[in-house]
Amino acid sequence: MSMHTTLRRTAATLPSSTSSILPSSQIITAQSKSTSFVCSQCRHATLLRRPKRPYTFTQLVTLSDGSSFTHRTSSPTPVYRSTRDTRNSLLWNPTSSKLMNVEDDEAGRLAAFRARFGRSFDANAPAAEEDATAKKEKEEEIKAQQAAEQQEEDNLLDLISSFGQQEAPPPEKKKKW
Amino acid sequence: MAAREPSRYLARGLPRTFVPSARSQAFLNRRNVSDEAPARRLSDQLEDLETASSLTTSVSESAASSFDPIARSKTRKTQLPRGRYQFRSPKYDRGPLHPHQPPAPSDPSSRLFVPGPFALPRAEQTYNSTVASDILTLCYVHTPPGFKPPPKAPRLREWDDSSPYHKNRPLRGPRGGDVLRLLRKPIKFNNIPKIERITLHSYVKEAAQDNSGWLHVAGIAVQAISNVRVETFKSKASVANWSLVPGRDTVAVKAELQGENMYHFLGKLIDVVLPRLKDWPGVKGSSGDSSGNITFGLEPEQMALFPEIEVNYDMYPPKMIPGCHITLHTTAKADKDARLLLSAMGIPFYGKIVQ
Amino acid sequence: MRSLSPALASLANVFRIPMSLTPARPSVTRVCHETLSRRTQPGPITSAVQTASFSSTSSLAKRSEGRPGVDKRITLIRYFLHHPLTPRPLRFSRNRYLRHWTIHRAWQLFQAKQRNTQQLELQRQYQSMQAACEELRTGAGDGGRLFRKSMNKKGIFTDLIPIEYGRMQTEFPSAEGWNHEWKKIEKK
Repeated sequence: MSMHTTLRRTAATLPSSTSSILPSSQIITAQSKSTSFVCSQCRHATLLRRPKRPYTFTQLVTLSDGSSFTHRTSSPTPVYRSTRDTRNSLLWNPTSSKLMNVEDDEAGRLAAFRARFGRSFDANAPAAEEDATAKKEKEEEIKAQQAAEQQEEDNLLDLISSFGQQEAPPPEKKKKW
Repeated sequence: MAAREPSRYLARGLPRTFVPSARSQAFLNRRNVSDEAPARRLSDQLEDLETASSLTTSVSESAASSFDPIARSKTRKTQLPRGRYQFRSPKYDRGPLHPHQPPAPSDPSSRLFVPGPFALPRAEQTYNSTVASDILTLCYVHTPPGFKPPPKAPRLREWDDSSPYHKNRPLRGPRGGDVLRLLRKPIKFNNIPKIERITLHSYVKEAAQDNSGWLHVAGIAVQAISNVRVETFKSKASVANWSLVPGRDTVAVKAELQGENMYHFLGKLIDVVLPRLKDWPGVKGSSGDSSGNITFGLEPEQMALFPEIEVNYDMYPPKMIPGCHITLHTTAKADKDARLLLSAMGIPFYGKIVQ
Repeated sequence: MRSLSPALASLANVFRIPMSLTPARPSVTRVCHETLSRRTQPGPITSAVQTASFSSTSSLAKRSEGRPGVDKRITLIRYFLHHPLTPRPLRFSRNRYLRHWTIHRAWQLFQAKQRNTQQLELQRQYQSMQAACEELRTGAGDGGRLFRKSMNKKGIFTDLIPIEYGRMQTEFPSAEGWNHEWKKIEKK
């Protein structure tokens, strides 16, 4: 199987970069940073395997909103048209009105229609919901604020903002002059 | 009231000019971000071009007559190698003391030479042009000149000299476990986190139970999506239910992407593959190994959505397409920096963001 | 018609791909078609590489009776995974080698310069940020209130960068272009 194991590979890359004669301890320390396996004493000759590289093609990817880019890929199709990508998925556009299918009601026609023909829960549901959610979110915000204030960066802020201001006149005095 | 306004500003501003400040001298010559960045105009670049062509210049008679390459080569003490001489790298590396050394891997005649890069990936361009300075600005913490933060307790604790045996002992590890976390330094212009490498790893337990076909299909699927040859690994654990024996069964496949391959894979993953996953909420906010590497997994049916596998889906046995774990290794020292970087590149996170 | 290279022939032998009539390097499509079509037409395969000498049925047909045959797609995957063709090291003459070396060095130099300018630009941004914050801290005249506000890191590491801004550049723009009017919707 030519999907070679780790041991072979590290042994192959190990002393390959030694174009000049270096003390072997240096080589080993330089290599041991990158690999876990260190061949401390290699007395045999190691095969320099030619690295296998899959053939790659340049592919043009066209996203759903018409923007396109090229990349190197192993698939031979020259043009790839994607129908679903970051430009039209809700996860990537949480505020997009198109994707959220929020109804566009500028002239108030829909609201007028609802007021006339709609049922009661249709007409005043959103307002009541908003109050409840607003209260909840306010509480959450306060909690988050308290948590955020304990961040480690803020601990230093008191120290920093007053640092080195003893020799300069404090700003309150400036106003009085 | 309106007439007084300027005088009030003046009164406030005047004493500030008379305060002796060491800094004001230093900041006289500075440039601000709002100033014009150093950009060369096109006309400047055109001036660098030479107007005369080298082809039109005439060669003097004396120079032409004295040009005799054969005579010159005969005066050489040691001859150059032949024009068609072709160096052939040794096939084996026989150690640093052997007289016949293989050339460096960057040499085109080396057996380990890998040509490239062939393109400037857009993920890299995005990082260099916007993401790096964004992160620099977001993570900026101001320290006044001359400010020294209060010293922290040492990470490795000393032994209290209660026993004579404590002398010359190595220092103790941190409290509550002997894991020494990476030290997170404030992010400055020289340590902005960037993506280092991406690892695709897929563990195929059927390779131990059934046959090696599972492993081969996993290998070629991972190679197809990553453009990188895979490595195989033997099992370390012993699981009786899966009939796994440590050291006997080859069960895992890994591809490590770096440089150009990595950026191409990242761009493809974010823009084409991840949005197509059904009901995918994003990467979990608690993912990460607390030293800046974020991992998430893809199911087998999600792997099939890669355009490379999709294009010839018929050529893979559908049951055998593997799932995989994708690890994004960043140079960030803490997970929160890594998440900031990845969210700037376009990876969504969900759930509670664990610091 | 040339004969197969020994490595390819042994590979074909291992994976039992009939190659006696194929040219030196069989094309991908041809190998695929041959291997896949063999599944559809059962029967004695005469062109198998090895046949037992004392049996009228080929070894392949005999073997396939006992156990379920290997999926042909896996056979193909194995063939391409283990294909011995690897890009060989480039061999240059003296002049071409020099040319390659010159271009390589120039490219490395160019990249080093580019990296350096990027680093310097970041450093410049950092320093001007530092200067502005120092001015805000000492010279703004509001007791450092604005400075404290600007240093507030609340929500940066929890809310992260808005996903609408986490877009990679593309080589060609979209039909609508960049939405400059976009604003983050404030939570109610």
